[in-house]
Amino acid sequence: MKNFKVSFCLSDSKYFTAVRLAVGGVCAAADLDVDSAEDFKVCVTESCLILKNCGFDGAEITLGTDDGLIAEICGFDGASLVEGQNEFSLALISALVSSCDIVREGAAISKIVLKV
Amino acid sequence: MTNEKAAELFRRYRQTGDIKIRNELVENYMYVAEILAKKFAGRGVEYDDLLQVASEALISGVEKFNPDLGNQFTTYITPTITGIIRNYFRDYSRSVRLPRKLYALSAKVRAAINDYYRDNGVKPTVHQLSQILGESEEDIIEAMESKAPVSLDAPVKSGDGENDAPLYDVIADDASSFERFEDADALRTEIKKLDPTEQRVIALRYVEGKSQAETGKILGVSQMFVSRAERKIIAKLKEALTK
Repeated sequence: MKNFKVSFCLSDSKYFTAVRLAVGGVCAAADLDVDSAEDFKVCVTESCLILKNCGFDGAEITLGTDDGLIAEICGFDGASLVEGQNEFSLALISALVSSCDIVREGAAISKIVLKV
Repeated sequence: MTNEKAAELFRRYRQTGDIKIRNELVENYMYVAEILAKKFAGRGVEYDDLLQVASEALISGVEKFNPDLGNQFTTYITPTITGIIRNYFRDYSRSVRLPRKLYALSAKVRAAINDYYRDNGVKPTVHQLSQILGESEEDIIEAMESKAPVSLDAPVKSGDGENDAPLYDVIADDASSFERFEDADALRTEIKKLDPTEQRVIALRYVEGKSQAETGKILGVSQMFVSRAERKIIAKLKEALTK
């Protein structure tokens, strides 16, 4: 399966439902059971909220199923980036997925890669 | 302001439509809006938002109230504001009503997941649900995102069958589901084994009685995230306690 990309504005919470639908579709394509799919959807949307906490206005999510299910969530259009309080989010995301790698721009998290 | 003076002002307002009189009455009864907003605050909607809704209802109530019908204004306005706040909760919880077909399919999906889990010991995939229910995978995915709208006025069974209470009265209730565990010492031991973040979730939810939304706000995460984390933690504790 080729990568699937979603790009959206983080300031409008109604887009999160669309993101969950898109991620749910890819989880189904990867044949995840419904519980694992729900965990992954929560982790992707929470990652988006982390980027928002760090000051990004938008996020691009790239989903792929070539090597397990992978989601790369990248922030864009951040005028003034901050570190944000994200320890708890990251701890819980780590508990829900197989691996969670983060990339920082200075102190701010700019990219999160999730893998099941 | 005495009741007599208030009644006189209401009469004058009805006769003249003078905004100054209306505003004087609104200011006099603003405490009612504040009390009712506080009563419903902390259940997923900010106090300021509730106060705004309650204030608008108060202004509307002042504009419509007729003192010559025999009621005190507070008797008239309290249920009015309460009703408006409840409606606001309903609208806030879901701004888009589900199509009936999607609502029905959502219920079928939940039932099919439970049946499959009971029969096989694992949760199904979307593809399996599609085969079981004879619906497209797209419809299944959409239905899984569609949580049934829940009214805060909906009665919650009390257990004794007599004292059903509305949902908003029991959200973030002090009653702890951990009471089901018989061995409190064993539970304490297992909780100490949780990592600090998991212990924080348990403390906020079951010791301080916060709702999931409140817990999420304190910890800087979403309500849904708290829900998932809580489910995992409880499953972990249950597993440890039943070993």
